[in-house]
Amino acid sequence: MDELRSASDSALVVAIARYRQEALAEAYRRHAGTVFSLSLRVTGDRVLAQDVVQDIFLHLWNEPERFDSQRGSLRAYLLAHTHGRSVDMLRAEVSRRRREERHAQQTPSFTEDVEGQVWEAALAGHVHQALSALSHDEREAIRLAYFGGHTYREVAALLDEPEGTIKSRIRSGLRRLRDALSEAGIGAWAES
Amino acid sequence: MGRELTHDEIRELLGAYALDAIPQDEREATARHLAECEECRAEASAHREAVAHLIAEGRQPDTGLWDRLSAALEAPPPTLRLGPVSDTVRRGRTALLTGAAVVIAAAGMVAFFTLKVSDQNRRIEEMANAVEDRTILRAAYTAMTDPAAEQLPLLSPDRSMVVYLVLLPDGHGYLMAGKLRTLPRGRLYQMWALLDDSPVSAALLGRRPDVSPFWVHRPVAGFAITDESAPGARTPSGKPVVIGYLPDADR
Repeated sequence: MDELRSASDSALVVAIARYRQEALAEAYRRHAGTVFSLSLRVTGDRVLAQDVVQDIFLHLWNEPERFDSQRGSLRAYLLAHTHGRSVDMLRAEVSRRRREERHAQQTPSFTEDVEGQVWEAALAGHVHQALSALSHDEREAIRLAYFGGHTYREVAALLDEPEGTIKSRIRSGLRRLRDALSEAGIGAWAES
Repeated sequence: MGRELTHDEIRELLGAYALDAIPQDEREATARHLAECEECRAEASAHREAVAHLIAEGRQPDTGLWDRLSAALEAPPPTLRLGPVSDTVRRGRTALLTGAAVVIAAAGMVAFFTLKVSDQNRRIEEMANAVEDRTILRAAYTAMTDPAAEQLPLLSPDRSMVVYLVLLPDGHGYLMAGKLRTLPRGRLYQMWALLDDSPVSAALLGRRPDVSPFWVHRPVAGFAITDESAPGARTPSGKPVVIGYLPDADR
């Protein structure tokens, strides 16, 4: 087990492919919190978020070959799947009704300003400074799309902006974020 | 299915794609494009890496979730045991298999190594699945009965041990190495294709090899198996455990 604690994520996935359950346990120990945090943020529902966590790690167990270490980190791979799964659930009819009921019970109503504050609080501390490199418009577009579960078309409607503008803001914002993280020595780019 | 999108249209969508913020039809079109465009694939991966840092790790799922998850995991496939293999006679050659029982190791002990290191993870899973549903066995038997296949014995230096492989014209083949002794942990068998007497790694066989598929780029002069330290070697570190040369003009 000690070997797995010090193993790379890629080595863990190879061990998972060989049906080593302790390797999956180690991957869970490393990443379940992040997976759960993202899913909870997107779905707003603890039960749904835990269902997503279970789905994500079962997927990793059953199809480890889908992770390609040449294309990115295991963390990014898991979170991409987590977000997609969470957004799917969010857009499902049952999730939408729950969210509407929850919003209706809140006083005052859940304003974008409050949502923005919640988002800020959910961010990893070291990312705050990197995000300051983005314009307000870029941050807002990314926040609504990623944490709000909206398509770029919906974000365009929410912000009363052209769809092309929103696509560009999201793309340029992510580029600035990547550059800022890289300058700060954070992430895979910092190692290259 | 909607219209195909141009490369420039896809590029504009890559940021939204990384955030799962595009409609289904555009998502499918983008996925198709990414399968063929390395430039766009790299950008999408970079966006996802950046997005992965937007998540704080402060929240944790309930402590009982792992127990529920582990209970739902599939157990490793059981060891398959087969009856004796009957002799086969093809193209006037003598039978290669003589009544030895063929045991298929659990999927977790089957490894497949190719010259493309980036494919290793996918190959391991392909191998594990193949063993689980006996595809390798069926394929190996089919190959043995193929009149175009070549069968080659690999002998130990003192000729006390022999393992067999069957090689098809397209370079695919199967090694039946159940007679090799089990190696201690940290060691594994590695098979080499002999190309103009220069060995090239053809397969990692694990500690307890059995029926193992492989592929080599032909022409090939022969094959050898060595005992190596895990996870394998770039060149053979010692003398072969078994070796054999193809008799025909493959050289």
